[in-house]
Amino acid sequence: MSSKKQLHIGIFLQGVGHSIAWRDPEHAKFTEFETYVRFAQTAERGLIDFIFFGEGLVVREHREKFFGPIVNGRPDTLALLPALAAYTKHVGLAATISSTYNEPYELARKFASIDHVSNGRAAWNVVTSFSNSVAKDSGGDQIAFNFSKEKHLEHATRYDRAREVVALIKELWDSWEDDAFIDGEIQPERIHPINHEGKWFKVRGPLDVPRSPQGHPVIIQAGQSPDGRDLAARIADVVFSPHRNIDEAKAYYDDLRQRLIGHGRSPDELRVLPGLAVIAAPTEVEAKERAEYYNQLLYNDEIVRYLLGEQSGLDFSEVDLDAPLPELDPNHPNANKPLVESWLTQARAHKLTTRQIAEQIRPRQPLAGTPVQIADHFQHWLEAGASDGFLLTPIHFPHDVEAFVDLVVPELQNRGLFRTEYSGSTLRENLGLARPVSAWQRSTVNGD
Amino acid sequence: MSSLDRPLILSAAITGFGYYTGDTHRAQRLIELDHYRALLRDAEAGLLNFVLFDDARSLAPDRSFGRIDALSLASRLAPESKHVGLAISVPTTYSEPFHVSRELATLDFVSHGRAAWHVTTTYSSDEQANYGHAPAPSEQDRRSITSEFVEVSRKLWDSWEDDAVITDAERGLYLDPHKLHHINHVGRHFKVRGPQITYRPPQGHVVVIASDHGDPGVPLDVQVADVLILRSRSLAEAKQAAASYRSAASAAGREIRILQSVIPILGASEEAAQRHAQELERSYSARYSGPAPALPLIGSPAQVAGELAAWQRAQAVDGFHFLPAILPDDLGQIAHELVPELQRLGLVLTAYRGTTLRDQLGLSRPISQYQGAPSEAFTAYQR
Repeated sequence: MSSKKQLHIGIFLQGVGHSIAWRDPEHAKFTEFETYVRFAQTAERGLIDFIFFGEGLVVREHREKFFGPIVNGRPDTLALLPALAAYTKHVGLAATISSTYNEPYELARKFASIDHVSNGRAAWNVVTSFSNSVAKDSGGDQIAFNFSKEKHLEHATRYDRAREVVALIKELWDSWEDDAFIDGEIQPERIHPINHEGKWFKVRGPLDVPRSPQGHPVIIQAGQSPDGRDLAARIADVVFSPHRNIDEAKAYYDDLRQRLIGHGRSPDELRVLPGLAVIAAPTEVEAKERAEYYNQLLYNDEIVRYLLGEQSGLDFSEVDLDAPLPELDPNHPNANKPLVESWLTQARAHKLTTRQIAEQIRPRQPLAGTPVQIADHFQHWLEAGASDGFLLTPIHFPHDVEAFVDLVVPELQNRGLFRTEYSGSTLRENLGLARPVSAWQRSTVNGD
Repeated sequence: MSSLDRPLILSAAITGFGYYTGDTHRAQRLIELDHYRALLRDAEAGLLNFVLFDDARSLAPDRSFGRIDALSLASRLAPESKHVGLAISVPTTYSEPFHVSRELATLDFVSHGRAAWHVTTTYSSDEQANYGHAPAPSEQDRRSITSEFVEVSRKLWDSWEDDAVITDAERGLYLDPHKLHHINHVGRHFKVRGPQITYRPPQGHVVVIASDHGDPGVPLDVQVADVLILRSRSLAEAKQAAASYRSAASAAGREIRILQSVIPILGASEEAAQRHAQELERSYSARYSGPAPALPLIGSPAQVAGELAAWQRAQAVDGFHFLPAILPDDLGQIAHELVPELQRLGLVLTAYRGTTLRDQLGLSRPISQYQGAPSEAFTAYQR
């Protein structure tokens, strides 16, 4: 194989809140452990870089009421990933965990431990727990209510705290030198306290878990705001982005590269993976039919009304979706005022119905096509420098994942764009990322 | 009499190098899966009801070993074992019931109902130094935090009724919204709204273990624990303590299982066992002061089994928590030499019975405290 640039691909097991593809009788059951095993093994069969799980710290609800038609509930990722490591050998295991509601010492030892028990396959998607899709009445404060707090931390404060959390955790991961064992015997002088005293935390260390196979588990970030992009450029090995437009994606990637240089990092130290739902089928007609089938499953009137209500904070239960958007009250105490005002402005200007407004809150259409069409898309983005690959966000499991693995992966391999076997033994190696040198190693080298 | 209607409950602690920490040879094995894999194999060969993966939140002051987080270890090994319960130490001091109860529910999920929670607290000065920005609660506060922490966790486990997920495509309902519940807990230490974001664990409630292991911040309380592990110095003392816990449990309407910690020190003969005990004692006292961490039982496997039988006849306790002197050797001896003697005496089973840990311990599966309670379902859009 040439040294041609290759794609990196992650797969996200969606479920909560997003999908009601569960209505399809062939959709796997999220309440069975075997579903997660099958997901991990299918991804590994397709030589995928990593599987990825989201986090939710509150059950989705609206006006303090639970809603039956959408998926809610999921296993705890930190407790799930080690068990999945037992069923796989190569695929990376990525967990989304909030830096806001966890102690750094706890997170440092958990991720280092998952890295140990998976032989170097752990990744942490650092989030600060904000509720992006969920409006005022189901927003961040409801997360706080599960943690003995009255209010969620403000945006800027969460990022400030996140920067300290991650820096501190990396220090803990480095508190054991790599060669703290010689012939299996511990070398206590190679284990060091960190004596961290920052704005938010005071942690002496050392960690009680030795340095893990990857040195640092892979760090993932999904920053879009200036604070988020800055955090990504400081700390991330992998970035998820929401872009569907190639020019925007490229501009975003270029911006991140500049920021990386600004933080003294090489632009090659980062993998940027836009999220993308892919529906592959042998013919274009079949793929489009499937996409349309999902649309019908996902967006019946009941769901549309619920989502409108959840996002706006207002009651849409009696609203005729095909009539012009009614005169909503943006000053209602439950209303998400900016959103409601924007809907009203658009509806007046363009004479939109409620259903047309609802189009805005639908996730973007999936990329549905033949393996060749999908591979063309992947290749185009990779060669344009708009991404290093994609984070797949399948709508239906197992169908979409199996179709990708069985149809698209061989096409990508034929083009030399994707691996034909796992080349590395750790996730970092498969992503082509260097193993971080610990601060202790660096100081030894400099000191000698 | 046949005692197999209530066979002895047997468990073992997996702590570092073992309880007589003389042999610190090859500390690296303590972060290798093979070490734990072998221990689990022994535990299942000896039909132990559970193993307890001990854990802490700082490096030992002498830096003689590192460790792997107990949750990661238990979850990683769950698929490689079938029957043995997987208890993990999880402290209540610097963590959140919402996180801990969810992690344990998921450990129960991946192990198909074999999870147990050994409640501990974070209290040594070395541990507190890793949470230096947070207040260090007093002994009394740690007890009260732990009690409330467990109470909140049980509420969160109950916040999804068992059959909340119905995937009824006909009616378009993934879940029955009436079967999710806000817990609205407001207590002295915690304020948690709920519901939890994961399903009710297979056992309903994960088994909660409280042990007398030298931390006065742990409440040895029948309201908190399903399993109490004592550290009595004699049969008489254990019998008295157990009787008082049992009457407290029956007054509170709680099921309780009481285990006594013992350190079996086995030898081919009594003399060999005594010699072994002396060696252990020497290497232990070279490193630590004070008495052994639990009651040692020294002798041949048949002699030690005989002693345990005497405890059983006195109906002092429901079973024994073994603290192996040296790991992995002593757990192997317990499983392959001591347990067969107990089987010969008819005190323990010869095959696993039941699928979940609760089944094995004879503890019933609790009904959700919210079952049938009104819930705030979003009815406006229901057909």
